[in-house]
Amino acid sequence: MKLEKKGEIQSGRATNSQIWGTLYRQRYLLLMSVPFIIWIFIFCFGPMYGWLMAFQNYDPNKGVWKSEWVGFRHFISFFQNPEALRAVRNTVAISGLNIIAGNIFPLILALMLNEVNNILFKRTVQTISYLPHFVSYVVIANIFLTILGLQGPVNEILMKLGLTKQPIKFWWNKHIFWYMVTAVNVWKEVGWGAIIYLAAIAGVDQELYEAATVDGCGRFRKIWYVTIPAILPTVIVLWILSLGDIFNAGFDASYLLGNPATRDTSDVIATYVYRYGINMGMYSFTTAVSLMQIFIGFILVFISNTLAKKFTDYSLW
Amino acid sequence: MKKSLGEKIFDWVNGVLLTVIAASMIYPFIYILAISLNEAADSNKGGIFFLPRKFTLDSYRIVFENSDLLNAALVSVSRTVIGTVLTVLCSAMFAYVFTKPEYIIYKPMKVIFFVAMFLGGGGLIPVYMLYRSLGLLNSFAVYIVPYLVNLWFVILFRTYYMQLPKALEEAALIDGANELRIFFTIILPLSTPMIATIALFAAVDQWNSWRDTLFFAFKESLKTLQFVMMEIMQKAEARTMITRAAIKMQRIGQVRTADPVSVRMAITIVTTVPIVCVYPFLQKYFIKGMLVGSMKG
Repeated sequence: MKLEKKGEIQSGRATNSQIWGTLYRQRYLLLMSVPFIIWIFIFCFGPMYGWLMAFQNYDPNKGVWKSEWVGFRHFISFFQNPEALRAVRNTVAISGLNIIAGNIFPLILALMLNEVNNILFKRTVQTISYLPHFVSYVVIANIFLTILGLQGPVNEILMKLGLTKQPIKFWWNKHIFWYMVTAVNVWKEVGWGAIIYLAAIAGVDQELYEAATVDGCGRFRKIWYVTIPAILPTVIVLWILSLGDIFNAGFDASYLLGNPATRDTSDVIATYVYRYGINMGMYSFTTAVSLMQIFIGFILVFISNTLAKKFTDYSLW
Repeated sequence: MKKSLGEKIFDWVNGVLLTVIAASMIYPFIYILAISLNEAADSNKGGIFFLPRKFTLDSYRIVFENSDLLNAALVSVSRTVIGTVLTVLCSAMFAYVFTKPEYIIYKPMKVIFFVAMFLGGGGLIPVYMLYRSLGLLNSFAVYIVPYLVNLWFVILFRTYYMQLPKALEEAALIDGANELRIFFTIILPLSTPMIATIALFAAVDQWNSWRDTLFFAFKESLKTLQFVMMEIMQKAEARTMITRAAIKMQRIGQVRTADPVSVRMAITIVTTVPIVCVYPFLQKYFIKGMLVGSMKG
């Protein structure tokens, strides 16, 4: 008995000193990771502490612990606020259109590029198509506000051709704002988005094409009966996974391209939170709005990932 | 194999369509360039589509002589250089630790990492409050510190390290080199393609960023080029700033050669040119990088 106990204690000591020994041996790894783990705690988890503001009337002078707690009042007033609900509607509409168009057009571009035999031509088109992806949204907005502006070249040509008497107000028409933004986003990201589809197409078994040729299939039929079915799993995964973004319409597009005339359709959750949060200091209410957005977004990612797992073998986790 | 008539037509139509698409992506930049190089008073008459009609560099002269714009350019360049170097270095270093499963806190570290990846961040106002309590508001550090580690880049780096040959590293370990030394003398030099990719991504993010200025930096001296351009686009005060500069130039004899629009176009070109000069040469790297990233989710 005694001996056994002694042995136990000894082994306990050994593990303890083993841990310290390992820590000492791995001190450089510690040096290379601990600062970044601390960084993660501050910058990724730190804001979560601020989520508490959503449940109180936050007063910057009192801090989070001394402010008055109000429970779910801000969440309830969110659902009674028509302007907030309008922002939700616009967010879902714009990001929904983005998800649909943002997946179809890159796919079409990839299919078209894949049919090109001249490598130099293909490379050139591809290189050019990446350009807008790397340019800031400020530049993009600047370009489109100018080109499609009242005195821009598009209106100038349309008027010279006699297609319209008055210049078309592309950016001051709230009825077309959603589609204008979608078009700009497609223009910006279509080349970049095509990369992944091109890779998927490159992975298609060449024998299938040969077999199709023997069977007398033309180019269109090969695309329709070979390429598309072969890359369908990739397409579905990308679509499903992008569903998680439906509650996340970009701040940039609405803030830069929107104006008072289109506010009715251009105001999204992100711009709404900015306007009422930072500009007007409604900290607690806008935190509640953000929190709701994060929560729904997380559920959507979870659902879409479950769907992806169920129908394909791809998933995020 | 001889092509049938149908195939030839298909190729032609496809080629023409792709040319149109490519043209639609380049043309806006050509138009902007033409306007920025044309005399402003002349541009207002219309009719400029490809080439400037009355060539002048005055809009660019305003951009490079206006002290506010020059300061903005300086802020943009410094945040891009400092931010990119630090983000690449920190992400690369952190990623290296993730290739060491024997590391004593490897598992908890991994859990923290993925929780941060899926739940991290969260809401403009909480972030704003955090930065305020850290004293980051209205300081240059707000452009650097929050971007020190990019979790996405960490994954890209790690995936790259995993395919490096282990032998070199093991040999160095036997020779008594520590991990920090191995990282700097072996891993980093072997990772140049990945570093190039990540540096491009990070630099583009930094260079293009303007929202952080809008949200967190209200000082005149912290404005970036992108932000100033946004202001000129949206606010009348910024226009007067440009107009004042233009009037000053007019007094020295340059009459109506630049206005807020042409200066805006000149800034657009100035901010776009660095990107155009860099990205085509890194193409093969970032395509690989992007594919690795998407496979991992």
